[in-house]
Amino acid sequence: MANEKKRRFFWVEGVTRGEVEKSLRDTRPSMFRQQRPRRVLVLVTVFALALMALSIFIPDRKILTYGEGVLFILILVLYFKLRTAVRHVSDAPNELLDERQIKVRDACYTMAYRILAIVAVFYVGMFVAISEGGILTSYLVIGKASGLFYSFLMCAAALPAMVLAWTMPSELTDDAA
Amino acid sequence: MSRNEELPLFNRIAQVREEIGLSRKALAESVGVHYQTIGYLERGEYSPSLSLALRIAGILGRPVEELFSVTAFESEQERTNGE
Repeated sequence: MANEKKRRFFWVEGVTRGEVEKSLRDTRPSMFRQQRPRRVLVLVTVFALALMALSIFIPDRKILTYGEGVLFILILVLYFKLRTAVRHVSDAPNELLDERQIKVRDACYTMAYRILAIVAVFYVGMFVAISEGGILTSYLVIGKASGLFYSFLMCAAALPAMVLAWTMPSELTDDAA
Repeated sequence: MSRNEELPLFNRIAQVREEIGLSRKALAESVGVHYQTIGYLERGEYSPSLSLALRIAGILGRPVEELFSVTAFESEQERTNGE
């Protein structure tokens, strides 16, 4: 419908029309237009997620809480940086992307889903390792295994952008595009 | 041959675009795609949908078969033979 009001917020995708359009139009030079810095960003994110998951083995409750807090903030920053590095293509809805970008986004979601399935197996294994006889208790989830929970949550959120950032070739400059 | 194997699609978008003095960005805006997508198309790294191919042909004022082909265009063939 021609006079249909344009949506400003895409709640399910977690983006706004403004940020996606601005990101796609952005022609300013950025190191993240190149594949290598984007891959470094992905590796740093993987490292931070792994540290967060491994924090379950920290016995001291106080160190664990502070460590998780710091790591969670770092992962959030990395997550938003990843989204910008891929011009929000991994999160944008169809109506803001062209046909090639939709194809690329869908392909990276398929890959991300497969990777997430493998990651989930490892996380379940770690959870079983720290639980007593595999028994799920609220103490275990809230107290000891919260790092695993946050790590998996952020992994699920960031994986599509991570896959896209890793696979996307270096962008050419405006003149050579 | 795999069922999903994509055959190369040759195009003369860059040549025709330059002939009529249109920038990549202007072409991208006219057909409603990102300017990087025009770059991917020109380099043959992305095969467009029929709808996009027809839109590009319309903007460049050429029949679609003059812009896209599953066999190399003459100039490309000559270049390939020369190498």
